[in-house]
Amino acid sequence: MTVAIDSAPLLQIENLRVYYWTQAGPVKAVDDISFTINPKERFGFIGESGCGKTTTIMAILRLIKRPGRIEGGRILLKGSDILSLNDEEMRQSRWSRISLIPQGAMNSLNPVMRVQDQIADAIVTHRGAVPIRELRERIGDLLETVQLSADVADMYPHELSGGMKQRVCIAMATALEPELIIADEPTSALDVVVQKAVMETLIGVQERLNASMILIGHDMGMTAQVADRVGVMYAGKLVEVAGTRELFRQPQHPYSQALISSLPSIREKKRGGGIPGLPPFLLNPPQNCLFHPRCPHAIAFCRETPPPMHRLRPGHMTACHKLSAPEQFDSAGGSDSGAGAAMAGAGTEASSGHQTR
Amino acid sequence: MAPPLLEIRDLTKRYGGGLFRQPSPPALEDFSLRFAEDEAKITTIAGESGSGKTTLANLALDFIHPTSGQILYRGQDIAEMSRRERFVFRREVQAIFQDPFGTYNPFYKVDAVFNTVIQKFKLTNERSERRRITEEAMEVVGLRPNEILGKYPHELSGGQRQRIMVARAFLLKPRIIVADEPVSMIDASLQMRILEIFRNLKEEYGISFLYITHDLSTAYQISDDIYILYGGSVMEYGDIEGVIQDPHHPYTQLLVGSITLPDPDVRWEGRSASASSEETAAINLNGCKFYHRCPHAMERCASGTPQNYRITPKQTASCFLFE
Repeated sequence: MTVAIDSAPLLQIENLRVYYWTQAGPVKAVDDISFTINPKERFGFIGESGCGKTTTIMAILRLIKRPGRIEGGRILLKGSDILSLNDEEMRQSRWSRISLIPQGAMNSLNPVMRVQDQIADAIVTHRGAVPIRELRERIGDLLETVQLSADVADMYPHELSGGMKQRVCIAMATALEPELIIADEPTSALDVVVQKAVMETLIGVQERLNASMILIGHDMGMTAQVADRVGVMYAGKLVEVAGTRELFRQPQHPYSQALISSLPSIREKKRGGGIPGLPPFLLNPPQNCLFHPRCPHAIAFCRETPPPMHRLRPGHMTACHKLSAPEQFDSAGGSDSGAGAAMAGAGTEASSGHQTR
Repeated sequence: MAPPLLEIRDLTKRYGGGLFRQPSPPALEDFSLRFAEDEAKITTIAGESGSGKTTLANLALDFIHPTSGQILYRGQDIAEMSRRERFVFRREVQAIFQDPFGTYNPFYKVDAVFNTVIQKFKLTNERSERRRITEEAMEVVGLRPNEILGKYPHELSGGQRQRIMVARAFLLKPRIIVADEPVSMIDASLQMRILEIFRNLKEEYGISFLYITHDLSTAYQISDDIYILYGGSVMEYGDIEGVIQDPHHPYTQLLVGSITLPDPDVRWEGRSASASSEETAAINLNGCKFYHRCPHAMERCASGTPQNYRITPKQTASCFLFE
């Protein structure tokens, strides 16, 4: 790993909670999660849709919209809490310190502005007036770092392919040399061959800037290849955090295990893939361990006690009673397997009971 | 000998064109394929956007008409079918589309999906019978009817909606299902469960699939054979094992090399940074379509069109390297 242990973390998230206040009650989209991101590190989030990945990064950017609200916790960027910044200070930090490459970024380009005007806009808004010659030179350099030729500057978005548009977005997001780049599905909607090339460009820019990166992608293969560390989210909770290799080789949380083994691969043919059941309905989630209705190992203890985040090894955390309180599973003894089988059997679509309240 | 169930012969489709305009380059060119009457299989059509895979799906479903070539269903050209024959064709060849959100009318309960096809194809008039076949179809795709029926589409997850679409197709006892990117909008963890249903329908009910996708990993899991399309032409064809594990055509090699494996020990191979110009390199219309992007391009590739050269008994590649 490229991470120096002694350096202070760039980003520290402590007990972050983000709720959406709906008419039917609060939806705990992000519920008490804590993690850190080190300088120059690439951190990946994986999990099913609706597990809170995008809400987490939107909270880091303070872009949560009503009815959502950050209910508690701290987000420390180099030690200072960005939740205490006023709106103008926050607006200044976005893009210059933390930048976002949003989902479907290529559709976020303004169709009636030339590429260079859009990039210039971002620079001028944050840095104030810049001499035009300097600006042009700057934009030329930026385009070069994302492997686009200089004549792209004079083009309109419709003249570019999807991959090229995505590169323009990368150029814009990194124009102000942020310390943290957040990439939400940066390559979905692109062709496979182009995905790879765009991802390589993004990594190149991130390394050149010595920035850290948070990567969200439903392509877990991509995350496995790119990230240094990975966090697994389930129903608003962080259930496991580990180095990428360790996580993909030896996932410890039953959800991580199921998620990773469900991935189609060209290495082996699998039968009966997928995780039984559905993700919980967040207006009426299961109590305590949120995964217990789908978990093959669940015992009564899991339904009665919330699992704490438990440190298995340095750098490997997971929230599962089987790992933090194995003695409970010993005492459950014979009934363990019975309960487990019953849960698994009930698992098929049973958890849609939560789905439908 | 009985004619094959579905036979596509030298199918070409050009869009646009007209009296005074140059015809556009072909979206699909000289494509042939065959599904046997007695042996169900899952055939994948893979390629990037613009490769012609959705054009093929639309042609096979008779949504659009070919510029040249034929599609024969049980030996009968679908362009020349009588009303009666077309009715049978429409029932026996079913479609599943990409977007599990866009295929529903949000104002109707999901029951309407089943009731509509039951009425249209006159499956039954009786209410109890209607209920029975609907429930049977839902159970085949692993849904519990009492949890789903009576609900509106927005109350269901993407995976459930897509399974309802599979159930709807199954209701009609089709022989072939054309599935155009059926799982690309579904969570990775659920994709395999839907594809598992496809495999079941093939094995238990003898339903063949034309599985159209850009994702070679899922194709590898369920297909029997695969066509790799580029610029409307077949680059490589063969049994799935051969094409994925031992790709011969340079384009297939590029595609297979771009697959991300969920394995941190396998890093991407090949070029560290590709020029973006390569992504948009125009398709060569005079010779090999892949000429402008091919690392092995030779002079003759610019103007000569390679045939399908046999590599193994079950695999062909359209590339002069294998002449």
